Amino acid sequence: MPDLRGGRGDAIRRLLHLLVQREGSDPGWPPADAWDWRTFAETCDTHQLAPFIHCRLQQLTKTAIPPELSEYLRARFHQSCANNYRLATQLVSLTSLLESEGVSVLSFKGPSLAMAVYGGLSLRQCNDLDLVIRKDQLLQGAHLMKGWGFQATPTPARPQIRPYFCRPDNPRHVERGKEIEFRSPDGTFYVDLHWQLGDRFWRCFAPDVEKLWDRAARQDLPQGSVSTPCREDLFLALCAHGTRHRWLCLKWLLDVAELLRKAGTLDWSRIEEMARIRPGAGAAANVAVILARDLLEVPIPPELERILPATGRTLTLATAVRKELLLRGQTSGDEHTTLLALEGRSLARWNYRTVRILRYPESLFRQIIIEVDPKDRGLIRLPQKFQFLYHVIRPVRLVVIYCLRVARTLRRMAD
Amino acid sequence: MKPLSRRSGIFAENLPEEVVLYDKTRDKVHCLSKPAAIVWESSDGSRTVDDLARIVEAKSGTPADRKLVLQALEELEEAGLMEIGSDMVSDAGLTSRREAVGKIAMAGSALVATIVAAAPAAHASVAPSDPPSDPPSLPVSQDPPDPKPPTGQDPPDPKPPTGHNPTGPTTPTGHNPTGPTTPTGHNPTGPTTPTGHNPTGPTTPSGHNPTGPTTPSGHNPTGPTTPTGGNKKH
Repeated sequence: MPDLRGGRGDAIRRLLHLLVQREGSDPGWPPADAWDWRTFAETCDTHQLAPFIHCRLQQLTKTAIPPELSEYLRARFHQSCANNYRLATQLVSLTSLLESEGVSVLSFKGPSLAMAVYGGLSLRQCNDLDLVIRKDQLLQGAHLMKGWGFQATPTPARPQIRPYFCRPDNPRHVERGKEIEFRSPDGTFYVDLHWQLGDRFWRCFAPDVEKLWDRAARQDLPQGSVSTPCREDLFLALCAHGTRHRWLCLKWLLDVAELLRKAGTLDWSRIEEMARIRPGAGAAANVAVILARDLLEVPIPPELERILPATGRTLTLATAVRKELLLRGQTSGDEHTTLLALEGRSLARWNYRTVRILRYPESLFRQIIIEVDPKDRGLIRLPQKFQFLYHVIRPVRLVVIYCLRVARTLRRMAD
Repeated sequence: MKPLSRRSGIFAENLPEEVVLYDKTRDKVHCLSKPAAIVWESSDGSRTVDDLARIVEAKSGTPADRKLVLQALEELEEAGLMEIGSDMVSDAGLTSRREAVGKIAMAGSALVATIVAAAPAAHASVAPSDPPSDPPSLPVSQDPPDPKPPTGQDPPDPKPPTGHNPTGPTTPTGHNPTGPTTPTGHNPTGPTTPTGHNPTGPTTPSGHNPTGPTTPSGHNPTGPTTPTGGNKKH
């Protein structure tokens, strides 16, 4: 596969440039044959922004837009449009059905978000339906959905999910996990049934799911109305979701940016209160706000700097995400690294590391034994035929380092 | 005669250069180009084709003539976005509107794109980390692929044998946007299941509805949907 880093970096810069353009301005693109518009189109798809970019390009001067790109984006727009309206129909039907059976559900992301943030269903690419359900109604909801032909199954995008994570009657998963994914009876769409907004270690970065219900609002869709989290909960939940996935997809940042551009519709005092109760959610939101300001030139309301103050950790994480994005066109999406960068509590970090090791022992084996890095090689220079000894040196070195860290942490706690 | 566009049951979404219309009754989505959108918005039953041409020219800033308006009206009518009985042939002074439009359509592009619900390409709550290596293919046709279940199971029956609304159209997946009906054909407002089935009688994965919904404990609170197994797949 050719190295596309340069092309993707260029494409992402063009994409970001377009996202901050105003109506009537010129994107300033060179002639079609002088730049790699195909990589740009791929980047739009990767970040799920093709429908938005299609409409944005129509607002700009069209002289430099390659006709093939224009056609490509138009087709994507039509596909997305049809899919969104279809998903919205299914969303209204499904929520009505569940509510008629006494199961409370909130629509989170998907068509209801598109309507709330963009005022329509066509600008935001939606892939599935996300429903929040009360934990004590999970079994009932899952049972109903199975009765209607839905199948709890790992999605093709995440085949690594183990089968027992798809069982709502698995208390371990219910306690530690956050969602079960269902495939529709005709196999054409997926429904994520959430009872938490983040798994065990990410919950502190998201709004309290138990409080969502008291503040829920109704969102009108062309096909009917659905219950959704209030805009403030939505804002914090979107920030938590994007940060958790290291802003792998720029669509998520655009959602946040659009909410921030309509800052008048948000009750900042409510967000302040939420961030006070859940500092983690405030930190995740701060990362989002920094990125929206730096990458999408969103004007930040002055009170936001007081409500969601930047910290060393949030600044470092936002800078790392921004660099990754501009360099490679997309971040790694690594939750592990992101959580460790954002989590300030030492014990929580250790707890997370331990659990991760136990859950993914193969990854531990790879990291400790297989992946020899320059630090190991720098410790001692071995001739070629003794290179295998690095696989012994590395675990010893890591054990020493971690023992020293534990000792330091314990000493600090004792002090 | 003066054209009159259909507004009831239509949700309009205005975008910079086009308008997306969602026809709630037929569960169809239409993308209107700017001229077609202006024609649709301005067809209030009081304007002639010439009036519409002038409005299109004024609002879009591009030259527009009767032929363009006629083409738009033709496509709007085909998409079901004009009131039935609204016609402008005599007003246009043409012997055959279709004949006139046909000549234009040979050279021109579609002003109204009707797009029906397509199956989602893939589940992607998290975007794939590796973008495709091949260059993107150019636009697919506006007819979406037939949504096939990935596991080889049969798709649901688009029209249940009983309990369907004889007057209401169904979507490609058999969904009736006006809501499901009871076995007697009543209940115009109730929700449908995601596959268009009757909410009071969810079906099994194979499309059968032998017993109606059950609670987590296996209790059946409502009983069968229809006496004949209304949601049974055929």
